[in-house]
Amino acid sequence: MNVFRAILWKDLLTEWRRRERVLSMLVFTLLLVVIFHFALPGGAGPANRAAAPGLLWAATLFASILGLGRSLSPELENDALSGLALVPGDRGYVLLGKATATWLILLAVEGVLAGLFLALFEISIGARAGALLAVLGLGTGGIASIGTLLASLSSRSRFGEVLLPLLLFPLLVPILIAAADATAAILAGDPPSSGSVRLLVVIDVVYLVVSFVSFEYVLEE
Amino acid sequence: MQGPPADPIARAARRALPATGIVLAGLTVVYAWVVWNAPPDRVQGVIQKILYVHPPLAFAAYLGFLITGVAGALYLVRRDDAYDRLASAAAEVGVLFATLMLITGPIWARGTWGRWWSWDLRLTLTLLLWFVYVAYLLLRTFTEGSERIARFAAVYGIAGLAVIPLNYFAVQLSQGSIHPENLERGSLGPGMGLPFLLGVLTTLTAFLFLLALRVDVGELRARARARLERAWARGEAA
Amino acid sequence: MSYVVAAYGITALALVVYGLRLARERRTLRRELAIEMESNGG
Repeated sequence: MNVFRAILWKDLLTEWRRRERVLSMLVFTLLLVVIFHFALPGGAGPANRAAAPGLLWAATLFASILGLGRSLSPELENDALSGLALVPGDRGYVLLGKATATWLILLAVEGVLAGLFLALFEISIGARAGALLAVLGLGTGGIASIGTLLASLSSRSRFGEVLLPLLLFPLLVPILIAAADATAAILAGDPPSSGSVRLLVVIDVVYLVVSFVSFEYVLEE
Repeated sequence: MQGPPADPIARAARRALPATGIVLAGLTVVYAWVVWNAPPDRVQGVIQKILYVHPPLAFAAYLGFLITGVAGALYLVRRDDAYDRLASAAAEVGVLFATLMLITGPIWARGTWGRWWSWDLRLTLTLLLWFVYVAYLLLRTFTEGSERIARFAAVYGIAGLAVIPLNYFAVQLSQGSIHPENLERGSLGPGMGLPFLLGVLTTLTAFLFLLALRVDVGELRARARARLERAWARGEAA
Repeated sequence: MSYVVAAYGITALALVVYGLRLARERRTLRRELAIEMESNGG
């Protein structure tokens, strides 16, 4: 548990000092919004309100590749990964710490992105902001856990930056579907369907367990 | 010649090769004859005969992916390279069968619905799973060091197995809101049970035959590599 | 009809080609390994 706190604190502190991941993801998502605007007939505005939830999550998925790809770079640059393998106790807590840091960083970017979407597509959610934040948190939870696990695989392979989206996106499709479904309901003024929320929770639990248990096998050597 | 393979999996694969080969040849002849003579479907016509090969290909592909996940998990527990060779062989053959399933599906859909692709539940699921196992094979090619490949691939293979039910519920969720009608296409009329059964048997036998062959080749590759490494070591020592 | 022929044709062709490639690699590897066995044993 101390390992978890130490890793989380270290990653957040590094990010706070350098802001590399937040800034690169933020600029990237802004670019994506511009690209979406020119790709959509009618542009990124109220005419395409129905597409907003899906696009919000598509942008999140793309941006997460940037954040995840760099999530293990400090360890790789200083060859500290083998040091992490020596931590006492369950190595799953190393993953948990790194994934939680990535989760918070991604959520910060998504918060800005969601605000931008609400303004552009002229959607007012008022009191449902909490529900939207909860769905963002749930959807991002699965991305952060399985994403950190797969980033730890791909970052030590050749063409790692190419490999990561190929490994990750097929596993993120269920999150995209469920999260976009729930987000669409919230933006339309309805409560999200119990099916989508339940699925998001199940995905989070499954991915967290898989990542926690198998990270040990990635780290050893 | 060279001695028998040391590990039981490769030994079983090599022993199974002649028998499955003979059964496969016999089944293929009967299967072709039965499919040729099967009555054309009253609604779909002759195009329906694609359904004697398309779902069986999917069954075989799913069997392959199941073997990949389970063998990968066994590798992580037992650390025996034989399990890793089985996992990679099953993934390769499974991707081949899934690819063929994804090719025959649109051909049937084009002839029946008039369009190449439909985002129907099973087609979409298999497509997503195909991506997972293509990524699995890419991960194997891009990773260095046979022990690391085996470990990384096993981890990803297990994750790939876990995503199947999640994808199932997710795609169902997305269809519940868009087109609720379930496209029932597997229902078999009179005289269609036998060719379908033969299709399943023949395809699964073909799968097992190719899997055994691929496992055997994998074991031979490993031995050839080991020889080469020993030769290198000798050369450096000298 | 041509759709049916295409579906079965592509499937059969792909499986046969894959099987033949494996069989050829298997033959080559077995021969190589056998030769090395002999030279090592002699």
